[in-house]
Amino acid sequence: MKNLQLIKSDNLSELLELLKKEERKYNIIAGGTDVMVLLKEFLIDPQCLYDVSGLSELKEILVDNDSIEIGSAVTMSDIISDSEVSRYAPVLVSALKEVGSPLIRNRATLGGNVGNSSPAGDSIPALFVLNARVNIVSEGNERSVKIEDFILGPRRNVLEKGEIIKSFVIDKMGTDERSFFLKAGSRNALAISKANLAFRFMLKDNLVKSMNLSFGSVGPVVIKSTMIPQLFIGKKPDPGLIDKSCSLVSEEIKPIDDFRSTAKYRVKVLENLLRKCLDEFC
Amino acid sequence: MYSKWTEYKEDSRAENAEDAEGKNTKLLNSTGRVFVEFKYVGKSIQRPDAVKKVTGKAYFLDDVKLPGMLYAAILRPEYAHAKIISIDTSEAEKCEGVVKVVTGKGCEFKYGDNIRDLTPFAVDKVRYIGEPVAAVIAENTHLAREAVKKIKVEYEPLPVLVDALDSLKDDAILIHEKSGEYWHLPGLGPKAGTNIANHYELKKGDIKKGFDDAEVFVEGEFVYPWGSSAAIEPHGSIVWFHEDKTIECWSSSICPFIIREELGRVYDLPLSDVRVHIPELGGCFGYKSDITVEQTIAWIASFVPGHPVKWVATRKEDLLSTLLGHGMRTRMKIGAKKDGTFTAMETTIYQSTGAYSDTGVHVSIGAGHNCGGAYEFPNAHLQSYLVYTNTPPVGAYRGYGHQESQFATERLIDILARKLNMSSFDLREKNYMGDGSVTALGEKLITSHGDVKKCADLVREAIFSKEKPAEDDKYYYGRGFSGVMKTPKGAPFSSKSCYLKFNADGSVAINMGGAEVGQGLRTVVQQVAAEVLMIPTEKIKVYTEIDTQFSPWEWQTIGSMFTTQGGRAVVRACKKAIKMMKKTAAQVLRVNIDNLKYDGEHVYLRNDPSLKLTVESLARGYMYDDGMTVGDVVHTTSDARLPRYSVPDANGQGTMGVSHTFGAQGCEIKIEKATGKIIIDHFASAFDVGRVINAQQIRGQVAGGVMMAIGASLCEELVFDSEGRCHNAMFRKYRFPTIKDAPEKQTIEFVETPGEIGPFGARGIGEHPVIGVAPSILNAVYDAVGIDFFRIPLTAEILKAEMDKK
Repeated sequence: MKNLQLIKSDNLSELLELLKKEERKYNIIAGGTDVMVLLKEFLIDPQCLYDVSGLSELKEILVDNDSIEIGSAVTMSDIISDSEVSRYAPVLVSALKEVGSPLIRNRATLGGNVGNSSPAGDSIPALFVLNARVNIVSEGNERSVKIEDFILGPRRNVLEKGEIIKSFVIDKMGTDERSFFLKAGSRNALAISKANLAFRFMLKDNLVKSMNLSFGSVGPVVIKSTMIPQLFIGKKPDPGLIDKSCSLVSEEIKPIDDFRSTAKYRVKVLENLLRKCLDEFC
Repeated sequence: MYSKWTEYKEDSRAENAEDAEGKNTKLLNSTGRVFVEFKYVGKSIQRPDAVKKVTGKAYFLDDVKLPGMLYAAILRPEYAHAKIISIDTSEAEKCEGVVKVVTGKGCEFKYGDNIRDLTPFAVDKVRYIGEPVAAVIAENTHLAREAVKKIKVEYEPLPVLVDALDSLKDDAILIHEKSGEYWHLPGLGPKAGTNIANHYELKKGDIKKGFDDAEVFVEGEFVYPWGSSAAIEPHGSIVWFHEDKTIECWSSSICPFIIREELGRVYDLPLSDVRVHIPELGGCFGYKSDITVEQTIAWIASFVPGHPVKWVATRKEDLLSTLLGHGMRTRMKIGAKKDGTFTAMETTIYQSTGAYSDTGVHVSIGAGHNCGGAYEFPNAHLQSYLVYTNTPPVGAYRGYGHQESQFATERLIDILARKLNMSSFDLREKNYMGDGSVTALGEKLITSHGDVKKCADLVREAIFSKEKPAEDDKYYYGRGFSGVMKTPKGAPFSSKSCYLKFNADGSVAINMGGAEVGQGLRTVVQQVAAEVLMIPTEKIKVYTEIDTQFSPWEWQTIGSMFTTQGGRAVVRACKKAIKMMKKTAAQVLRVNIDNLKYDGEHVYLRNDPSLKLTVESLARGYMYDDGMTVGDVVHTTSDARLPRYSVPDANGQGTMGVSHTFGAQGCEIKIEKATGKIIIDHFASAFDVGRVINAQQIRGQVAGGVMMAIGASLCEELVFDSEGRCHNAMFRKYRFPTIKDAPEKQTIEFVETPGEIGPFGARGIGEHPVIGVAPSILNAVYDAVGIDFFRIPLTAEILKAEMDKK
């Protein structure tokens, strides 16, 4: 760790320029709540760190008619306390409230949680159901990808050398839409998920008009459910349908055994988390 | 709060305390007595260290910076059991900032307070995964850690023993080849040629007859696995070999005097030439007792005389290179008559104590003789085997052997009650110890040892007085109960002492050797002294740092003994001080000392209170108008030891318990059907503490202890694989509960049957709240789902899997 250089700038274009020229191994750091742990356990071995936490361009929350743009370096605490996000994207707020402790949320950023691309990152399922798009910038270039295309595998994503996440654009949920984030961890706070899910849907005239569902911590990447929404859309939810949807869970997810839990338990837990949601709303 | 004390009305103290503390917990109101005769004892005064701790200004080991300080990093082995063939330090020596690389080469001494089997560094072989192999001293910690990576060690791996049962096999490799030669205290010690570090055996009555008389039997094997005290402040030490051939040490420890004696012995110095400082401590819970890391750091520092060397454990080192708790397997059989009267208990405990046994030996002895808990067994055969394994050493952990072995007792009693088709409360009541009972150790109890039945009734009322909720769609509901008994596990010379001095303005300074680890002993000292001296607590200043150069001798701050023993020493010192003032006053007033009274402000003549002298006028002796002085400066010393503590006799019996605290615990839980998650809705504890000294703090002790044991019961375990490696030695994977996992409601009540030893009758309470938690929860799990569990932690995964099988 002794030769690690920290590069910090308060100017986005300057930082992108430096990044483009950088030939050493680097990592982007914002709050450091993942990076510092990875460094300490030698899971990453960069020669320098680019600190984006001082870039004001990445620290804004902008709300327009049907979407919200959240800067990648906005801290989780700031997102949680933002009244517009709470109102229009409650599922994201519930998910972020489950991340770590207040101390961690005061430093951790949305960009960091997504950039770290852990299958257990709590914000990611919420971003899935909010149809988030990830705005990526590099020197002289800008692109935007869907959240489900952004993450490629555990700790792998589409970011190329020189690129950083600038912001996320998420749907503004309608007042007739409802949502949910549920998590099972090894304890009630400061725990990484054994399984989690984000759920968003709208009922009209007792029929399911739309439904988004995603599962975290139960596969190499967060999983967007296709079969279950298909089952429900256009129908009136009833106990039979709920039973059937719960039985589909094991087909959609690919959990593993690890130190946090077993695959078998994860399937069961997720089925039950889903039942909890559906029972409540259908 | 201190400022409130005068506002307590005579009959409303309990309610005031309750209002201050929140609606869920009753306090002190259950005995039907409110102790209005005390002015300071039993109140909730503010801790003198509170402001510094909440503002971050308290001074801990890692805050200590000294001139010329160097920093150490330690290499740990890749094998849990291996011969060291060679150590190549040449690359490390070339690294930037490196001052010296140190190994165990040439280290010939062993150390330990009970069994001298510890070495500061591995010499020829390594015996566990966290053992020190080599160290780098460098200009800063980062450079030291970088250089440690360059040390090359060649090992020849040896077979690894992880469980005591494997170490006991005839063909097991010996972890200590020469254990028979180790120095040890009388009455204990290793069995040469085996991996047994100590075998304790207790015989009471006639075990054969006891089982012959029995009509019903229950037996089982129970496992309480390794866990860590996991204090937020890790272990750390600074050692400085001065050029004048004295040693100075700072440590995050609760045994400064053991450290001083050990360093003095090993480096052949008069004890007065070794000075040990203890700054504020960020938690202990047991594992900073007995000497742990200090000899290792001293060995390192001895290579750079003139420079203080600092080392602070990483979390991994704190978990794997200091002391673990538990590692205990208990096999127990209980025999009883059909009416429920216990006739016999046979217990064999196997403790996997790790690679070194010095710190674990009393744990296993205590687990052995106190495994019967709060119950009287007329006949008992109790054994505990302390067994070497290739895992980190086991030492003190809050509860000290009691929660591990009484886990078995309390579970088996519930199972026996089912077998007898009897209420488990009736069964327990038939066998509770009380006035006239004889403990396993052969000690006869009297009323003043406490009343377990009263505690049990309080818990029963709190938890079992209402109907249990019926099973619903989401949850199973259950309730469980456990009795509790604990004694301190003392040792010869387990004393505490006190220096007290009156200042010229009538304020008082008290200096003792007890370590404040968060338990709040400073307020105990203040309140006890205030009560005896009859002066407000704010006029009593209690020591902060412990420094063996100034502090009075104390064995170590363990065994929940400070209030009892330390408080006793405070009372004695205060009484001596009052006597000194009277002596001077008698001279001045020209009366007999017996005719004088003291009221906190004056010493006065009993039959003419107008004839009086102020305390201030007596504090440094008395000065007449002409400047002539008489009398002595008022400063006193005192001590208190465990009365009549003895080592075990041929039957394993003796006065080793001395001071008993009885109690009861119980809980209401629900189990989420979907996930197997155990949710504790209500946890109740009641202890006969003899006397409550600080109402708010004692609640904190109990509430915190319950939480700690909920962690052990539901989620905490350090797991070692067959190679002796641990994969969850980090807080990310070693999970203890947070405040969000706390029971919805905790009821905490106290019975006050004054004891004979402690101040105003107070008994120990620090460790006791952890003891009945696991059996209460597992008894409640049976009540909820009809499944008996014999091992903790009971995770949601395990419970769900068993529920599905059913």
